[in-house]
Amino acid sequence: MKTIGAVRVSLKGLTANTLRTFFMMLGVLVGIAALTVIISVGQGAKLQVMQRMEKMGAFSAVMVVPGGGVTRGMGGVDSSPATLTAEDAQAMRTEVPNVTDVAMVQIKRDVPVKFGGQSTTTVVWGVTPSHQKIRPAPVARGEFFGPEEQASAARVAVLGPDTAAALFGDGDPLEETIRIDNAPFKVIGLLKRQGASPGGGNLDDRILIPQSTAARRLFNVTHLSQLVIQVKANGDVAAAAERVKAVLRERHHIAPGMPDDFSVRIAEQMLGVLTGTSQTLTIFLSIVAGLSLLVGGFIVMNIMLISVSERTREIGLRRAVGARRRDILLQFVLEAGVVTAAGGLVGVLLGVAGALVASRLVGWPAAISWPAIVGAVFFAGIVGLVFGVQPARKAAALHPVQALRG
Amino acid sequence: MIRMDGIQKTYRVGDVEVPAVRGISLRIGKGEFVAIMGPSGCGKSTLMNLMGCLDTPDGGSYLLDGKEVAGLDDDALSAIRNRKIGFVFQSFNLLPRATALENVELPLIYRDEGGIKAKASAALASVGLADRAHHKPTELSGGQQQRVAIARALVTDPAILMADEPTGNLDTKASEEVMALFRDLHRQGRTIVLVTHEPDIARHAGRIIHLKDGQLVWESRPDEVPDRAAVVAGGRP
Repeated sequence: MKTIGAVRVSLKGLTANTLRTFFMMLGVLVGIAALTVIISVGQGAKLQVMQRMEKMGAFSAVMVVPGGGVTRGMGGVDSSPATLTAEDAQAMRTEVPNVTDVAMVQIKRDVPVKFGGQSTTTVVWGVTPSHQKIRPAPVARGEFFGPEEQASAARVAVLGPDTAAALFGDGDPLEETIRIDNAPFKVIGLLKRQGASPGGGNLDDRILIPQSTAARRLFNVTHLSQLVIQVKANGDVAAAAERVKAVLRERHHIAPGMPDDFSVRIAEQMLGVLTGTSQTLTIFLSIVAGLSLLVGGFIVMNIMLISVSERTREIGLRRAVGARRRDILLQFVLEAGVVTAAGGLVGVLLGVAGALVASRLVGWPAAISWPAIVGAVFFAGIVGLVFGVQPARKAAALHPVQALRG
Repeated sequence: MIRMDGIQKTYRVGDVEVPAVRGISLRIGKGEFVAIMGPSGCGKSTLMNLMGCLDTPDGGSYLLDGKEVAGLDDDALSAIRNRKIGFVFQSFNLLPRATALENVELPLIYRDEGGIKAKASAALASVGLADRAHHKPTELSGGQQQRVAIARALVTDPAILMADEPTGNLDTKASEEVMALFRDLHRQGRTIVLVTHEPDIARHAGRIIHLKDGQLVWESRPDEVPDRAAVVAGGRP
């Protein structure tokens, strides 16, 4: 018998009992749909983190934070050890090769801010103007402060859109004077909306002021909460990070064998930390979905067994008119394979739709991986073939005379 | 066409061996119309299954169309059923969801040949059902369903047509129609073997073989066929 003929026979068998076929499809459909959603959303989460980091120029930057252990997010000046200084930053420029910019950052959380009768608390970032080159915060209106404001420790502020809305509502904040921790600051710029940072913090609810102003007039501390070192675009970031480490250990007089009193981070490591959890979750959920696919396989097997015993006479007749055992085997294996592959295809379509909806709901990009999808349909077909073999063997083993009796 | 010598078949039910066919020898020539008669349990269905290569004998020799088939394996027997034998069953055995035409096509899909539709249509036309090609079995009368089954048996142009109680599920009128069709086929030169316990049906054949307890007891011409009561008793008149 030709293969095309065999497929035609199988399709006939399937259209003959649409309800049963539907349930067989459902068995694999659910598992495949779940798998598609999980993989797409998981990939999407990773993609989003990478996009954010790329947007922030993180892949060519080395970040140093005070303290030894690995901490997520950013500690404020009042909660982190006072080990990083402006002199350290200066040393980076002179002693690390390929450095294009060094930015100093001082961060303080929960700082009270007032304008007129409105008040709120937000995160205040004291940054050197070079921070704009390394991790740009695009300005929607007004302007960002430059070297002059840094040199004179000017009381100027650039507001994130959420902070501006909290203080001014629909009013125009530009040229107004706000009080940060009771000190007057003139609003000179408004940031564009940026969304979340790679670590998940809100980049739209913050106030940026010159780092010198923050150190001398607001926080009254000289130590830094971040040091960001930009390396030449095609420079070796990992090598630069090693050099940064060596320079800092020497400057901080850390004896060999003693732990660092700072942490050096580069994008690859951060990517690992930030995507690690979601990756573990993706793997776990994929296993669950895989198990449901296995259950689907058993459903297929059982329905096929029922189908075989119901169609005993048909099998007997086919044998009587010349079907060989292997023709019967092929027919039932193909039936199971075609149903599950079709179920897989529908499952993928539903899964892709589900992933798109989910990505819209959580605000992640959906990463639809087509190779994974082709693999899923293929895998569903394999499930059908594997679980279809046993019922098909049963059908093929029937003796024609007994089968004809039904 | 058919030459059986000392054919035996024994069924095993649990520990008990039930001899169904006990050393039957017979000849059926090309173009003959032969009926096999006997009471139920006489082994006529078993003999039919052996003749139709649905089952293999435990002993003896069976030459079909000049070739020994007694020792052949399953694949070879399937091929012989497909090429040389056309079956007609008491319960029609049509695929319920397939159309008449698709039912007739069935034996041809197990061959590597083209022109399936044309051959099936021709076979359907030869039993007078060309206009019912796209009807499902449930939309046809019993007689029409059995004619579709006969078309299915004929579509491969088999050497022998084997019919097992072909009128058992039909009323008198439909039975006559079906038997008239068999007579026509016989006249066209088909070899036909018919199993029945109905004397009226058996009389359509040219020769009648009587079985009892798995053995051939008597051969007769149609005008010698005993009445029904005698056949059920299994004896000669």
